[in-house]
Amino acid sequence: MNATSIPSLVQLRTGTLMPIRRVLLAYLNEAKYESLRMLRAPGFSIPFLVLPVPVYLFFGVMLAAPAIVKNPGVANYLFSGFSVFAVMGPALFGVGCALALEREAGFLKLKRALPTPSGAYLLAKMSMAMVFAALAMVTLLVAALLVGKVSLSGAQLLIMTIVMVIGALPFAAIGLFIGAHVSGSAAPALGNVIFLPMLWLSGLFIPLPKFLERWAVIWPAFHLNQVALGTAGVSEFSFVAPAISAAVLVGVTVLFGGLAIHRLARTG
Amino acid sequence: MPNYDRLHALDAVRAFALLLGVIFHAGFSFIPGMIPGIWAINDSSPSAAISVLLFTSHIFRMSLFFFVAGFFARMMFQRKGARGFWRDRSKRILVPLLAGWVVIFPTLAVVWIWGLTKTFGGTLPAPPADMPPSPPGAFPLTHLWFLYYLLVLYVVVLVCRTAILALDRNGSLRRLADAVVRGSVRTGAAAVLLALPVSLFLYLRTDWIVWFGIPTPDHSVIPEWASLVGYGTALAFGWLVHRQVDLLEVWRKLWPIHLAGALTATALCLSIAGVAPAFVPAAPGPKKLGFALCYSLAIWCWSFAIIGFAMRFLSRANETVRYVADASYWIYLVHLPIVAALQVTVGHLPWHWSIKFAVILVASMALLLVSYRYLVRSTFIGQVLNGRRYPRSASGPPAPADARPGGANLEAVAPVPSPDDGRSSMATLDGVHKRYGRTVALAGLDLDVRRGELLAVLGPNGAGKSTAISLWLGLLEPDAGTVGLLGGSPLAVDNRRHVGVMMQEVGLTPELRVRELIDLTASYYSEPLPTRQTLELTRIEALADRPYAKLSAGQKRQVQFALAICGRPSLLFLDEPSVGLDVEARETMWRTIREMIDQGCTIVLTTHYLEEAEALADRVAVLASGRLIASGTVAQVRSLVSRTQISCASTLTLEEVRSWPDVVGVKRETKRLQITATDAEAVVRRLLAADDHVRDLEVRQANLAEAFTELTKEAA
Repeated sequence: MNATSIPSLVQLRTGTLMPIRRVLLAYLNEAKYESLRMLRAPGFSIPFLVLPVPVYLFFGVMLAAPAIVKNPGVANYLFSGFSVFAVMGPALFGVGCALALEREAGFLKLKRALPTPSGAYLLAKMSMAMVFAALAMVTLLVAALLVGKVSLSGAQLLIMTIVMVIGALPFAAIGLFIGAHVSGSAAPALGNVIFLPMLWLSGLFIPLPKFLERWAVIWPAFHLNQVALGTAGVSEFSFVAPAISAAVLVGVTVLFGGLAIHRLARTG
Repeated sequence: MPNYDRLHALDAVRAFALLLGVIFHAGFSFIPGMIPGIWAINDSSPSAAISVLLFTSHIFRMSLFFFVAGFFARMMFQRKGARGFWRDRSKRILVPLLAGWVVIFPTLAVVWIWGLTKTFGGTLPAPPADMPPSPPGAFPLTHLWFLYYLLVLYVVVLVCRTAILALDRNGSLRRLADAVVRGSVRTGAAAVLLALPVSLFLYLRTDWIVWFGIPTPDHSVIPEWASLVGYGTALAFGWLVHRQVDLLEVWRKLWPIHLAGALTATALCLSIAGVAPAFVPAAPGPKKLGFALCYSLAIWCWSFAIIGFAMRFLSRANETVRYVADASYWIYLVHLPIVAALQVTVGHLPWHWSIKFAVILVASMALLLVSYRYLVRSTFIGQVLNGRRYPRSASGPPAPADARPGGANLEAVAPVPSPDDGRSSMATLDGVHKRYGRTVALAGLDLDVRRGELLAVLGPNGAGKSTAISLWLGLLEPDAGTVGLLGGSPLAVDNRRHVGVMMQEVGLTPELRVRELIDLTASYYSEPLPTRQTLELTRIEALADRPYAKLSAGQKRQVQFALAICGRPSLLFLDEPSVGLDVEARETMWRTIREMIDQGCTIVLTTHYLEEAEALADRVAVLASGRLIASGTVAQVRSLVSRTQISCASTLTLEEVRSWPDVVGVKRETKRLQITATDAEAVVRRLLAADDHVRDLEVRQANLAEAFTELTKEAA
């Protein structure tokens, strides 16, 4: 190949601004490749995309069968709860662990030296969490419709799915916070310290003892569940106004995202 | 004490508190469960979300305002003295209170009658027959009560000040107060200490409706204790903080912690008070006390978080912020009738609350901003309210006289180095110092990269080469000195869009393929090379579809080079580019580099190898210990660093050899002499002449590391 056929290797005009269209393309590309690489990382994609379905089938369908017979509405509640579970994992771990590892490996150094549009890297991580949430939701939906005994209308399921996908954001923000503060080896541990208690203490799957029930409100997972149930009109299990729960989630996103950005801006 | 000539951040905070008041009132008709008649209208689409927003904002907005007011009050008092202070306050507080009330109250009354008529289906309800007689002092202050309280509190504070001056002649009391303020702010205890008095007075109120926090004292000219204490502590604390302005810096750092505290306390309060207000006085007991404490804590956590946030992000002069800050006083004074009229207008429409709320906010703000622009800013009203009258200008917010030039409009100052000036600077380091802990990386480095040249930066490990490049890339900031990139700052993305970079020890996404990495990196640039051409040019077509993780070290370097050039940069930084490359790959890289130089690209290349510099560079800069120790053409520097090592067994003394010309260093290792010389032949001739018993003579070219060591010693 003869290199001289290339028009020019150097663009000498400086001081011009990049067209908005190209800036948007940069954001899109960053998001696209972040999702793509995570899908290609089997250690990540398999547990988070494949695992929620068997877990749901075992705990949410088989073991819960007697409870569902007693009160058919429980099936809907369990579907919502396991959806939250499916959405939380990739957001917390996919964002948190990846960010911690990448900081250690010096990824951010190059990103910061290159003219990466501001925030593109973090936005890409957040959108990756939403893409994974959407994929996980599709697998769960299929399982729920086939064997889950849910009695929700198509519109209700659609609303819940949309809420869940957007609801990945607060957990992604917590992931960013973890990834921005701890090392790659500590991130999974810290992630689990948050993930596991939240999973159970939010009352997503099992009825909580009374004294724990009132504390469920401190967990974002509880609020995501409430937003999903509330907006879909499952009034039987709607305990907190969805607008309030949504406000809590926005607050969590802003707080943890802000703290992560603050930290990354200082240390890279 | 730092010189805070104009506290832009606090101007912004005050404006924020006032504008939040507009939002608060705009949302009032949407609060669920309001008793009809309290507000002009109850909207037909109540909203829990707005209710939460209002509850939260109402916690702190007035306290925050009174804090800033106290701060600026002392500032004015220091500048103008007592007489000047009162003259200014009469004009800017008393006159708006009197004149404003005369206009606002009747207007509000009309809007209220209209709204209540609508609320009660067309007829105003008759006042209840058993209405109690008005208590003494009853007077509808409307939302202008805050001006009245400001005046009252000014009097209180100045009387206290006089008393303290009389009692505390040697200043020990004031020193103590300053120490307490400083200590409590630094430890974060200030929020707790300030919360105590107000929570006590809130708790003591028997008719306290908890949802509305500190009672709004708008119906009597006799001050209410809870309000007086709540806002009085705020104003007095602002006054005290102005005695030690540098305390604002503490909040600049601690704002996230205060925000976390504020959110927690607010959530707790909300869980007790509920989304909709309960119009029954709280029963005394631990719950009421807990709420009072938590609420007061939230007041101060919010206030400090917002002040800190503003200090962090709004400290610079900014025309827009300044304009809004100027407008906010007028906006707050006159907003209520407009907002209420809009609420009444949309109140019974069958729209979603979010749409109505947005309509009210947008329409009222538009009206208020337009009225400020045309009725206030350049008229006597502006003179009264803001103490100045801006000249009328043809378009947009005129620049305030004291704004620093170039503060806001980045596009206007974007660097455009003139292309015909062949030797202008592309990147500069000016007296730059940088240290990492105790290690000095750069010690006052001056370095200038000229347009179109290839500058090779040579130096031993730890000389500061990579630090210099990191500074130019905006990865580091200098401890002292200035770093210039394309006539601007390296921190500006727009400048870096013309820069390509290849660094040492970077990671790239292992799962992505080479083609994808190039495609992604190219998308950061305005006019990049097509990915295919980048691959061809750097001869890595064969690697295009392989994941980065599967490449060898040398192949990874080739890919990194491809990423460096894919954006068609006019300035290229290459940090040790050829480390780990085989000869063929290095030749390919050098060819591309030469071609880019021919097309006008400017390149900075760091290297350990003189040959690399020789093959490519126009100019060489030699760094050692963070300083520039030599700079010139390759030939000049080669002669400077080209040294010969002569080794032999000899009985000559070190002192004698050291005194010879052309000898730059000599030392004895076991029984051998190690001589570093610039002219080997001359030294060997002299050596043989001086000592007949010279044995085992060895002569070899010194490597670059040895040459650097000698150069560094000479430079020191």
